[in-house]
Amino acid sequence: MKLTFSILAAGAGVLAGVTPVLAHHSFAAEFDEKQVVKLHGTVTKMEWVNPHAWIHVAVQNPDGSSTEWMIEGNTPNGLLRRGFTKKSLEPGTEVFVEGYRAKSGDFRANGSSITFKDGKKLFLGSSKDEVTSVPPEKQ
Amino acid sequence: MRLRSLACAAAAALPLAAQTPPSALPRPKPAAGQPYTPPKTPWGDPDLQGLWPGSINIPMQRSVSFGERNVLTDKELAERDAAEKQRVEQGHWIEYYPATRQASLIIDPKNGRFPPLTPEAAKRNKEMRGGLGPPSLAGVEKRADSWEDFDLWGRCITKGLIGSMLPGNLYNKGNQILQSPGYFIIRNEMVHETRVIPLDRRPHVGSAIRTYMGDGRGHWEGNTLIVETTNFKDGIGMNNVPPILTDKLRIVEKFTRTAPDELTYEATVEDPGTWTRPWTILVPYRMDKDYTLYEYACHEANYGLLDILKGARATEAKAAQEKAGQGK
Repeated sequence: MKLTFSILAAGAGVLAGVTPVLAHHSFAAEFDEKQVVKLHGTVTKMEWVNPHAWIHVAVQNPDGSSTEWMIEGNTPNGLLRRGFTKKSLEPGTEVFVEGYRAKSGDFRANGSSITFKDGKKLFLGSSKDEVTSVPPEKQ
Repeated sequence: MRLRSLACAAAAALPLAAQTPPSALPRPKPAAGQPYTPPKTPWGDPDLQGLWPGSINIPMQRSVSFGERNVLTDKELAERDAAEKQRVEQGHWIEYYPATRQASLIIDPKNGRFPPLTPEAAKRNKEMRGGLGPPSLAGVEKRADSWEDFDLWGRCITKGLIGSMLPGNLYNKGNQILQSPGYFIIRNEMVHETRVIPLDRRPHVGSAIRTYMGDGRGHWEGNTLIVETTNFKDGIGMNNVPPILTDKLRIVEKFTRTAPDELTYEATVEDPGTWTRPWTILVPYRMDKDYTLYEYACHEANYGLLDILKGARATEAKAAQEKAGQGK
């Protein structure tokens, strides 16, 4: 099945400045840093759950079917502290996702960045420098 | 306080303009020789209540090169702060904590490092998991055969004591102290802990009762609350402390409000079944009235554990397939 996502060989500059994130689980054991994925799809729901939130994104395939990917994000508490709520990423929002696919081969990825169609970046975490970049209510 | 004295001495020796970042500047202190007197609760205990998040960047251990010096120079302070900023920029999940001049949380032994393990503990820990050592975040990358390869934090159970009190969590670093007549209550946002400590000098529970967070008993010595905790389960770990411990573990904590917005926390950890001597950490907590503790129901959707186990099986299957292919 050919999907409208791409898996790239990890290399310098593919995800500029982005390296695997830290969490209360091991990134290296869960995700494959050699399997960089770039997805273009539509948000179907946001799982506002601990220890990490998961964003579900429907990615359309060439044959018209669609595949639902799950993108891992920060802990809900951390998101909330940055002004991000359950309703900040509404179903139907078009997003471009970059991340690393799960080693299991499931359609899951660790999201390193999410970009809206107007080019604005949505960060799921907590670097203070990124606070001003969060535009969820505007989507 | 020892730390405050050291920080003050270091600051006095340096031009003010060279001291960065501002968060590391000395705090206002009472007049010389006048220790701070905290407010009292309506029933007369020193009032330590409030939100004391661990938004502090101090590593557990000190570099060997520091020797017994536990205060950073300006250059070292700037380097630590820059490293923290770089760490945060690399991952979108983790929170930034300003650097402080305290070089390590461990203040005893004086070199700021864990004391040696006993020979028995060294052997026991080395032999765990078929020679891979105790379960840990890094350890699960070496082997993920079952849930037993994950540490207690990875399994969303607990960070243990003193793990739950350590600053610098990736996120969810909140701590709250509440008091009522006869009780001292400590809440830790990570991982969803509440300790209710009786202050009436009652004895510990029976030795057959063993828990992850132990059984704490507190009493006041002047303005300092002393909490002694025993009755830990055998064979558990505590976050950011490598070895698996024994049921001989005993922890004595000291809580002292040293300024309106400053709480000094010392904890002495002893486990003769693990270390050759006790060791002590010091954490300078700062009040943050705006901080909110949220529920952190860590086990709610701990997909990471499942994904890691499935990933390990997929990696094995791929390796087996490649091996079979080579044999043809």
